[in-house]
Amino acid sequence: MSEQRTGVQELSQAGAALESLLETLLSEVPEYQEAPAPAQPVADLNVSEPLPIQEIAEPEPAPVSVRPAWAEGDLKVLVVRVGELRVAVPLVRLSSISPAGTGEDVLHLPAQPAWHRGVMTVREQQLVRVDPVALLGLATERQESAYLLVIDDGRYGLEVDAMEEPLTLDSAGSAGGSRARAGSGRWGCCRSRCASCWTWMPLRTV
Amino acid sequence: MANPAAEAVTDPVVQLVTFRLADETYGINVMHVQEVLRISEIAPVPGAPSYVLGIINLRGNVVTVIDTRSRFGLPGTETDDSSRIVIIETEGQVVGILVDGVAEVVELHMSEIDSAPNVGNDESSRYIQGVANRESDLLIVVDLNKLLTEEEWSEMSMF
Repeated sequence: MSEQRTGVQELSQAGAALESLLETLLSEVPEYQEAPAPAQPVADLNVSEPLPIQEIAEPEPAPVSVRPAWAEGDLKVLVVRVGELRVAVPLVRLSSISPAGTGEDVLHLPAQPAWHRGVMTVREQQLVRVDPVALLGLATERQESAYLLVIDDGRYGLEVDAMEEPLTLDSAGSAGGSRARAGSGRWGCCRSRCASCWTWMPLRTV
Repeated sequence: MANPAAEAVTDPVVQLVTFRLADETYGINVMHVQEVLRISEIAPVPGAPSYVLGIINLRGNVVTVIDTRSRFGLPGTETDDSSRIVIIETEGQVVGILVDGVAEVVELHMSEIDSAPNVGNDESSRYIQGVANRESDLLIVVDLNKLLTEEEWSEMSMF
């Protein structure tokens, strides 16, 4: 009888152990999580001493010369008067001087800018008459002119009222010669308006 | 000795109908000209572009008349007995251009038309083909195809 009881107890203990094992195996396992990395020590930032700024040396822009190559050095010019302006026309670019002609000689093209004073034939070549005053953007009511200064191999004729004297301008823009006078030498003033007419410059207004 | 046949190939002759406009003489290719009319009743078209003077009835066909002075940027003037409407065909359309008077038909070699003096605004004077020197008189040669822009020609076709 006691042997039977002992056997039952062993079976009971074995069943409990098995049940415990099954519960352990069937229970939910928490998801694996990596352990957080240990905090790194914060480096001491010395904010009181900013890093030195390296200056990037930009190349300096090359100076833009508005003076054409043919005008380097001393420049001989012919001073003429156009309305209230005195204009210096470099002799090196001057082709000829012609009478201004009458209105009948001039062909006025439509839809042209104010400085375009028409087309005429001079020495069997057609040229465009240019009003220097209007080319500079100044108001002008000039109707007649006395002479045409033919420039750029006869392509343009500058309308002028009177001719004064030849001068020699040094590289600084000052006038020399027998009657030295200072000039402003405003080179390139009309370049944007008419590139081919950049053979002359106003000396100063009077 | 010059070879006329070779010269005709290298330097063709063009016939131009000349007309007057604001004291200047203009020339257009005779091949574009259909006829020249005296001024008749020109009916204005409401809402038309400024360069459109109006329309005329040409033997049952409606023809748009261009105000050439306005197109060329010239001041307007009253028409008179010498004013004419030149009917031209260009860009596939028949239109009329109002001029102060028609002069004659001249012949020019293409080499005589010099385009160099045109230095003004390319957009506003694009229709100026060049300037020709004829017997000591200067003549403005007009390219009719460029009288209006493509958009304007399309707009004209709707009248």
